[in-house]
Amino acid sequence: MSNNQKRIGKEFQECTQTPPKGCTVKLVDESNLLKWEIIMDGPEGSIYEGGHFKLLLTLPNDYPFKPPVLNFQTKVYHPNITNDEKGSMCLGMLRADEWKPPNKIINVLKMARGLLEAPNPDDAVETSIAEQYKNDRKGFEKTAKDWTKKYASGK
Amino acid sequence: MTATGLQILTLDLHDINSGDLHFQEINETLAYSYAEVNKIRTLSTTGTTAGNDIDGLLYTPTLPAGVCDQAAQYIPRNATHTYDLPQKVELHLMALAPWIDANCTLAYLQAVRTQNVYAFLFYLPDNGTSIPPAANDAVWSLKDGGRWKRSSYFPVYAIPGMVGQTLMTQLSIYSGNVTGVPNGHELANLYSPSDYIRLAGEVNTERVNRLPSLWVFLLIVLGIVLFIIASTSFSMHWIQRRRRDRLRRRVVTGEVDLEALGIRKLKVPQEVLDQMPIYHYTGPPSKEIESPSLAHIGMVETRNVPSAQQSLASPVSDTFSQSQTSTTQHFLQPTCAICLDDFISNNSMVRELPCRHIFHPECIDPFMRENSSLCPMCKKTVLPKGYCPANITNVMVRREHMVRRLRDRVPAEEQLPQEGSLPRVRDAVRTAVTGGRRVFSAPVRSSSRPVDVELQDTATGMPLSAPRPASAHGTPTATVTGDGRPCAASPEPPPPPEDPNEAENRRDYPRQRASAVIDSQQAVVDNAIQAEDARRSRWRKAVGRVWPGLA
Repeated sequence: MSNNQKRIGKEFQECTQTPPKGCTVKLVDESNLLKWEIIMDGPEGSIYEGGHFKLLLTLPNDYPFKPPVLNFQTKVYHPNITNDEKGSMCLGMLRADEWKPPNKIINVLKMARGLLEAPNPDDAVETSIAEQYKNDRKGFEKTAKDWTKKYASGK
Repeated sequence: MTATGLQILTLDLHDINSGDLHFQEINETLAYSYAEVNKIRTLSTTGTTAGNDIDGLLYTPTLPAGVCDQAAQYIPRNATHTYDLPQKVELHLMALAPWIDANCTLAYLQAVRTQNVYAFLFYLPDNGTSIPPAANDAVWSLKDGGRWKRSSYFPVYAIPGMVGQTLMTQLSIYSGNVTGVPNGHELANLYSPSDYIRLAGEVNTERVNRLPSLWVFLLIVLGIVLFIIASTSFSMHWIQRRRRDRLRRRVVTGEVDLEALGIRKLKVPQEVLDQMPIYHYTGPPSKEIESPSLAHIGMVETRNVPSAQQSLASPVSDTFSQSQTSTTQHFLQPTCAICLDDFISNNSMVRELPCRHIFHPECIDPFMRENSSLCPMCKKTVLPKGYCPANITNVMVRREHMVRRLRDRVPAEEQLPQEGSLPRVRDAVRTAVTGGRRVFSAPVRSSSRPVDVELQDTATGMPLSAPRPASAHGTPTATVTGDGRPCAASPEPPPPPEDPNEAENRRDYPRQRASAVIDSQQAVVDNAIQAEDARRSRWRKAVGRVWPGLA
């Protein structure tokens, strides 16, 4: 599928040349356009500020017809990110039935960052964190900051 | 009918001469009586009706002289004969005789033929006390293949030999005058001396309302159950068929979009694709394309096309309905959303979908053939009206029903953002309000909301249904005004992506929330469908095959 390689290349170029705010994008393996490594800085003013989160973006073979998969490789305390080694992020637009080919990776990254800034506890994957977010915001923020310091402060 | 018991009692018959028979049962302390159940064997049921007891005065028939002389040894000379009974009235009679052999029995049956016999009691003169052999036993054979049973007009019963002998003896005792019988003097005080004191028999037969035997009962129950299953199955198949037809009609009319509802992934056959126009792209003014930052953000340039600019002051919905209804102006997109390549004016071939979005045929055709029937830009179905893309199955009917039911449950007050332009929210509300007849799907959407929403949305490069990026590239302040309505902003150069725009983020948040709410509703629908499918065990599927729509 040369079309798809071309598009991915184009998108990659866009993401490297005009990267979304606070993101640096590179390929995990120069020969494989389907695996991207993203370093996302915690948004300023948010509880994740100062953190550098490593994300893995995996594109399916039939991208852009199928959605990419976004995983946080750095542990992060967030209601919409699974608290396991996968670190799957729950983004509505990344669901198979919601995905539209015109969506672009740069927008996915922006949205992921937006979700770091403003967690969405009503559509959470980690319900216990979502509960804490709703009921004990201070405790949530403290844990999230601790985790950010602990796991995401180093490069 | 089969006899169940025999009663013998003593009667006083009087007032015979008036031609009117009165009879009275004599108290058993003063006269003979006998009752026994289950010791009587039915040899022939001719002339009986179920449940009716058969009664008659007991007597022993007289054989013609020279026939079956050996019977005489079992019959006392003074046993009650017809001539010992009142003659002036028609009496119900019950004959009693020993079963000696076929000839004697035939003679007896012949002898009573002219008499008003209601039943014939035979006994084997063997002094036996147990129930006589069954009716099909060789003992009872008259060597005529059972024809005798049909030729006689009364039923024939067999009683134990001992009982027969006893009754025969009693017949000899109760055959004379009132004073001649046991306790005759007391009886003479009670009854007229001219009365007859005689024995009468009553054969009890089976009640008609007796329960049928167990296996007949089971068969009947089984039959009823089978009938109920068959009839309900038939009617439910019929109902399901009607539901399928109705869903097919609604699919054909475009009221229901199977794919947009998540009921079934649809693909577009090449024939249908071939009907969509392909033409050379004659794009917007080249200066638009020269700007790379605009080129890749999709539709923003569209707002610059002359026809759109003419009415820039008017609400954007008007602008775009104009541009859409205009026949000369195709739906301008500078970029193929699938490969993100710019169309080259007068060079690129483009395929236009019914929603007027254009793509490279080599990009859109595989997508339509293999992935989805929905436009990648607006998620509106590309299938023409009147085209039913798939065989409607019961599962699809069930899912559509579920989706509708879940939609009905979506509370209308669910966090509605002020910006009413979010089409799915509006549709959800309408769905909730109007009873779920409408669906979220694109066909409805396209008729019920301004096109500009789509365009505005596309300009951000994000799907309607997905939460917005914090600062959508090239759009923020330009497309969303203070009141949240999208407006026809003139395309300004997009702010540099690095530019922090926190206020905009915050303003976008409600929209994200709304999108997320809708997403979670969709998720609820999906999850419910999946969970429902998982719950359907094998037996439920089998049940579903018999009674579609039930399981």
